[in-house]
Amino acid sequence: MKLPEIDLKELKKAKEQNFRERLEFLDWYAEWVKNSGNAEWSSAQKSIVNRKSD
Amino acid sequence: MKIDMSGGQIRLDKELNDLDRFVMDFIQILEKNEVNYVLVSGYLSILFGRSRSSEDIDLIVEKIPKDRFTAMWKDIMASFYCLPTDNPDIAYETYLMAPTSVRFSRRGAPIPNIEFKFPKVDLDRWVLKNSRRVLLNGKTIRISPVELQIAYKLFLNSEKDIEDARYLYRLFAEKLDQNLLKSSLEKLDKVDDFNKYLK
Repeated sequence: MKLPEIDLKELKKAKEQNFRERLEFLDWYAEWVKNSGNAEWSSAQKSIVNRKSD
Repeated sequence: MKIDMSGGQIRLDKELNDLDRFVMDFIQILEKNEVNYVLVSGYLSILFGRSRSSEDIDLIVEKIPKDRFTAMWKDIMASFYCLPTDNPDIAYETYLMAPTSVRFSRRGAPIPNIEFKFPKVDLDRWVLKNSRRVLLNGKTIRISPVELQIAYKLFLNSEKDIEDARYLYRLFAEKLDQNLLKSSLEKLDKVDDFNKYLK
């Protein structure tokens, strides 16, 4: 199996863009946590954290 | 998020996840043995809602004499095991006094684990002395000041760390001690990264 030519500059740019998008999502998520009741956000968090630790 | 940050402590009630329970079970042993400690780094963002887990929980514990460590070891071994050694003398002399860390996890499950260490640098000693008390569902845990953690996460500088810093800043921006945040950023030389990633 032969890999395509890899443009490292292009790949780095995509990685940086992905990081910026994650930071933007985190802003949205932090705002959601701030405006949600504790039972709501912690229940949602629990379902994710517990799934990862299964 | 309903969080009460008055009176020098933080009061938080939440539905505990497995990682919270793991941390609280271990911390109750330190509390019972009256050993000072502080939780630092990644767990703080998880405590306050970040939706990710962690393989290890960073814990700085006051440097206690060997007899107190050995007494506490018995309590720890009732529910946890020590990853590098099952011998408290070796854990204390060879690892903790080196100084390096030992890890404690539930029996049969190496992750998550508590990375347990005595203070190594001045900043460790400062954070131990200046920890914040959190009443989590009515039980005490002690954490690093969030202001310092934001700067420290920027210092660590991986994408995950920068995300944690940004999350904590977005969550607590209006409630932070701005002088402590400024001083933490300056001392860790992270003012430029703060302006780049968190502003």
